[in-house]
Amino acid sequence: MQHAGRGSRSHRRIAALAATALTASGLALAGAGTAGGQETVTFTVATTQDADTLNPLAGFLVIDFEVWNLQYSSVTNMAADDFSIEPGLAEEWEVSDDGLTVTYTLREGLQWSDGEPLTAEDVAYTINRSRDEEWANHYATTQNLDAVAVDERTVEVTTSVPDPKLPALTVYILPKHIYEPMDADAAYEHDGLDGVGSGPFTVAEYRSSEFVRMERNPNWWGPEPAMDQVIIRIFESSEAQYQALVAGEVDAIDEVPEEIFETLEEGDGAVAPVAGNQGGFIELAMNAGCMEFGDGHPALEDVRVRQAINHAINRQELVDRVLLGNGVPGTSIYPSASPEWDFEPSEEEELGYDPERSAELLDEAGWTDEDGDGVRSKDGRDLRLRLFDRPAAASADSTEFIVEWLGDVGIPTDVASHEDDQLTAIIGQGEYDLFIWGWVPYVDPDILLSYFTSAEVTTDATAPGWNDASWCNEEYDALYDEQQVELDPERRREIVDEMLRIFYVDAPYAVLYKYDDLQAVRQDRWTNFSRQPAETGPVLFNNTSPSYLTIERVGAGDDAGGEAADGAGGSDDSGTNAGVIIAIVVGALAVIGGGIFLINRRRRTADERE
Amino acid sequence: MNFRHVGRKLVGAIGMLAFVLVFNFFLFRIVDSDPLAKYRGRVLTEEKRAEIIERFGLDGSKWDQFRRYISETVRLQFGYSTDSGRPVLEQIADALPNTLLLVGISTVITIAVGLWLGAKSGWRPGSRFDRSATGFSMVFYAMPEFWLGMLLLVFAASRTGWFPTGGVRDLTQDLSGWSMIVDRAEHLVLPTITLVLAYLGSYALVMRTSMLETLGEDYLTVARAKGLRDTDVMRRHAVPNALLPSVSLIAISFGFVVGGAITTETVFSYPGLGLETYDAIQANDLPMLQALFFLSSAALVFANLAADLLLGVLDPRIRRA
Repeated sequence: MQHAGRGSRSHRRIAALAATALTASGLALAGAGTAGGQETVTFTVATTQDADTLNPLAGFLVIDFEVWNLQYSSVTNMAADDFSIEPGLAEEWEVSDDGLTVTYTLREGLQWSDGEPLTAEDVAYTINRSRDEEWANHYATTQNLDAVAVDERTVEVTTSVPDPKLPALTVYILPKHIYEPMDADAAYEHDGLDGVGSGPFTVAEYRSSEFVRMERNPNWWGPEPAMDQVIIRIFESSEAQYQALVAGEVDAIDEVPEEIFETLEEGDGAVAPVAGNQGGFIELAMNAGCMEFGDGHPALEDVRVRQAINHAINRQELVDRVLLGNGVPGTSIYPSASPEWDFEPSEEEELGYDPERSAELLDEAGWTDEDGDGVRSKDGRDLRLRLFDRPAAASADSTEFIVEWLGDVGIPTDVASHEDDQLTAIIGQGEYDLFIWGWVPYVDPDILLSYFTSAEVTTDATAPGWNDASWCNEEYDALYDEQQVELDPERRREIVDEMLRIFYVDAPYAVLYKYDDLQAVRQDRWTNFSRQPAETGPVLFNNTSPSYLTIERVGAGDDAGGEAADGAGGSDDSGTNAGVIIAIVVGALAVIGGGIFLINRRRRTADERE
Repeated sequence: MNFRHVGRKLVGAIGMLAFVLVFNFFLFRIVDSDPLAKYRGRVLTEEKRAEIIERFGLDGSKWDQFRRYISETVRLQFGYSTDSGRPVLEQIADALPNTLLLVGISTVITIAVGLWLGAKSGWRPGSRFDRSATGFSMVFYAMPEFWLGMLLLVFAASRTGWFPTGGVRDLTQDLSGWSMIVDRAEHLVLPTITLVLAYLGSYALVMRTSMLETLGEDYLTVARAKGLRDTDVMRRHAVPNALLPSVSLIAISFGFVVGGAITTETVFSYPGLGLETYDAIQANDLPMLQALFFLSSAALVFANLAADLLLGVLDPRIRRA
């Protein structure tokens, strides 16, 4: 009896495990129906990037900006459509005749989310302190400004030099009562979890590499959003993130891999793809070596060699085969998220794909292949270049194309892959010839343009500048200074266009392509997403995150059967991913079949031995 | 004698820990990374730069750094994460419960099921049960963990909605009590199944082999001669002896619990120590990596010590040797 008992107990243990698993899944299905007591409407966004810090003085990642865009208002806003100036905390403003002073009038009755009044004091405090302490995300805007709170609702902002960005004043205004007690270091080390803001949502909870949860700000001054809370969930892989979208756990995702994006179709399906452009581009940078610093190949100091490299590259093929069509071939740098600043070369200037022209230019520059080994050389030195890329980046797929095209015109390359930090250090020491990397511009072109002035060329490895092509051009420098203080928008655009032309023709970069951000949303649940800029931009992780205020729920109130509907949504979608599924099933069968085969064989040999 | 055995094992474990401590310091300094890289592009005054360097323990000579590292580590002070700026210990303490839950539960299940499968297979080698059980566990043992996890994610979560696709809890609702426990359990199911299937094979095989070895032993013949039923011979005589080789394996597995499950946690975005490790590697977060590596090595050393001592108790032959 005793033995029998023991036996059955061990059986029960196994059975109990199975039962737990079954119950859990049963409850998963049942749970959804009962959960809706007081319904909290949540909009969940997924991304694969973890926040570094939510402190608006110190963070610099895309996800951080999404959080701050929701938590903080600025004095003026940027329109979703075209980044034009719109009222923000200020409802109106007046520019002085000399253009140097702007007087902003704040909305009436503004409050922080914790109930403290939001006044001109907060605005003046943020502008002046960020200038004095050079806060990274504020300084570019406030460095020449001085602000005075005239009364509760009036701020007078004066600039020491003419500033074409004014009267637009788009910096996060921070609560003085939170930041004043902190000295410069404390403010910089602050965790940013105070949750006091003036935007539609404020941070309620943050767990590193898990999520940021933001709750509705009861004192928000603008239009009422359609949800009570926003959750930004952090995934480790973009594949898992996509699966969560299909399962209906999240409502929108960023960074959809090209291969998955390809399978999504625009139409009535549950999931809608959104390819949005905001100026992000990838370039093949060259070490133009204008400052006798580092050890770049001397051939790259010759503009003809740099142009030859431009002519050797087939940008359209990169767009077709690396981006799978989600982008456009590059021209000059793209200095702004707004396409109105994009540069178009004239026909005779164009450095398009033309291997013959490339060879001609190299011959002219004296780099010839005299011994017929396929490698150009001059004065006994081969034109062999180091090419660095970043293994984790999608752009690394471009490398093999570029290596082949350069090889075709007689320029062999030695490729090495480096992590971002390492590559940054290598560039800072000037020890490179070519590398593949990219930039994502702000709205105002000034910042990206400033990176290529001579002042930003690195001459000291301990204080690296931004000019990662080590390229100097006096004309460009002079135009840069000119556009910085040009108040006539038309004239400024002409100056900038000329700068972009100089950069293009002098060719320190071969800009490969301008790529789309690939996103996807559950259009069966939410509608009315805002692209920024209109028609071409992304709906999430853009400059001012307007979607969060414009989206509306589809069939609101019909949410009780949500979970069941999600399941259906998932299977509706199954056709689109059929290729992947089939591949997985075939793979599984092969592995299982192989396993059985091996085991049977082993068993047979064991039998024979017996 | 017994005392000497324990003493020898203890000294061995302490020596091992000391080695890990020293090795750990040099291991992560081979990696040439710049902790200031993430501050690049920001306005850094000289004082600020010096302060950051000091904060991350990078000032002074290598020898100074080493001495400071030793004295801080033995007091369990691991400094600050260069990635998040938070204290390393605090960050680990956040992730540890998640990992203990996931890896702990799945280790227990894996061991129980694996040993059972192995014992039963080994008792009747070549039987239908043996062939299917060994085949089953080998197939999953051979499968890459991330792929297995991905399959489960696609078919048991995304397509069917049976289970959540990742995380530890439903973020959209504020749950408490029983519904919170159910919610946590739901999030555990798929990662647990992944881990169990992936590691079942190692236990099943070890147990099967040692079961096979005991089959020919004289004491089994004696037990049978006493007229005991076949199942009793297996349960009371064969299994306890065959278990011995698995004891070290089991103990070491519990040592690995602290290390987390990097692959599975990554696939399911499950915020445990494995994920922390993955993130720390990606971010070149030396203090974090150093602490994680030290803690998991220490856990392993202790688990190993426990196995040695336990074996000494269970198997008198070892004490004598």
